[in-house]
Amino acid sequence: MAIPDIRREFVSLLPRLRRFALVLTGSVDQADDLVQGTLLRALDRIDQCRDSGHLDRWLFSIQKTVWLNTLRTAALKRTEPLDDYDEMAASDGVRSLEASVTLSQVRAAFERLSPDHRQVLFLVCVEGYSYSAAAEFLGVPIGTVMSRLARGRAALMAMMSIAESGNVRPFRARSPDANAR
Amino acid sequence: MPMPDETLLCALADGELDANVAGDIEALAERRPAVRERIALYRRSGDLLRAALSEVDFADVPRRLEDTIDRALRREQDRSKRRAWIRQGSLAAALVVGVALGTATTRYVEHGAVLPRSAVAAAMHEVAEYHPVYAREVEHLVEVPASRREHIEAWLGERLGLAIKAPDLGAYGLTFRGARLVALHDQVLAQLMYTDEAERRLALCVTPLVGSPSETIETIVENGLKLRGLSRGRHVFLVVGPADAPAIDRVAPRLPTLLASF
Repeated sequence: MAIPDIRREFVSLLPRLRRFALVLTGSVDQADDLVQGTLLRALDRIDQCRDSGHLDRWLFSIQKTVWLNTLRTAALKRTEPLDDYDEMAASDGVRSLEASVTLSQVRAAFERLSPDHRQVLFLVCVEGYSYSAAAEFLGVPIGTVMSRLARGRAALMAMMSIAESGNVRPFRARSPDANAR
Repeated sequence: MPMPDETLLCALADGELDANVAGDIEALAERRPAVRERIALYRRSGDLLRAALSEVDFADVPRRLEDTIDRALRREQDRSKRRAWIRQGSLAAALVVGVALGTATTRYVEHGAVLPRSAVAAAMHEVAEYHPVYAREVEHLVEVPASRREHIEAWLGERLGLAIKAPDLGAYGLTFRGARLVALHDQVLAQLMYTDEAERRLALCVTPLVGSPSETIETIVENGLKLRGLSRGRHVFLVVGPADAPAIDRVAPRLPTLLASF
């Protein structure tokens, strides 16, 4: 790819990179910083970029790596305990969904999911990855993708049902520094 | 047929089931409203997520992200031109060396000037020029103090596109004082400043590799300073300090792993 083509491709992918960054970080504040780090690393490997057949997936992969490195650098163990909502969904299963749920409620509920659930729901439901492609990207078996999808959806809809009833705790963005040693 | 597992209902909603299994579940769904409702709910959750996370909502891209792309591509264009210049120079120089010098020693000459040293050596010569300037400072020895180590790692790591570490070098008799970001032509250089037991200043530095890699350690001694460095991946790692500081030789072989997570 020539330089002008690379620029055009990268700029066109910025909205999707920002969206995936929000999925990874769970924080609007950190998402654009993550995208910037991703761009620096990707453009430092511009020869690989030229050879890459799927630029979007290549960039997503780099973004995931940059985020994991950020967490390691901050010495933050990101294995978050199940949110109360995730636990409830595991025991109660899917609830009915009121027709009047708003998109902002959906997004707020999504941002409260665990990182594992956010990532798999995003890749499959939003980015359109097949189960096998999502499994390869995440480095997990297909069975894990399937169970996370089911549990993630159940947790999401449980939270939206609670949102309808008004019992929603405010979302707090987490910083990698929050629990650093 | 018993109630299918939720993972199968999700897979049906996502179009991921084998045709035979999908057919069985769909037939069951026609007879059992509860199954039908769950499949519809899973399809709706997918529709809601796509709508709530529409790409359009992320299209208001901050200018700094496009600027990052433009700066990186300009650097790549400059690097490409330099590589082309060096390639052309090497071809011409081979003829000049063979005819004009007539010796076994290879000394490349292009337009009367010696071709650039290795990328690592070039970076070390630059650092050798400015290190004494910063090392003289007392109150302004660093830009960000050691007490903000995590911020230093995040800040410089983001600038370099590398997971930077500000290591504890107590085992080498060095105390971390803080860090500074230095401009090396159009490149970023991260300088981590340390002092030894005699309060002499040593710096560990990281900067992007511009040129050919050099994974064996190179050494320069000039004007009372000793510098040792090497490249790993896309970056140069080096240490600089007084020529008689023993920590330089002890730290040098481990520079990449001390300073970065790969």
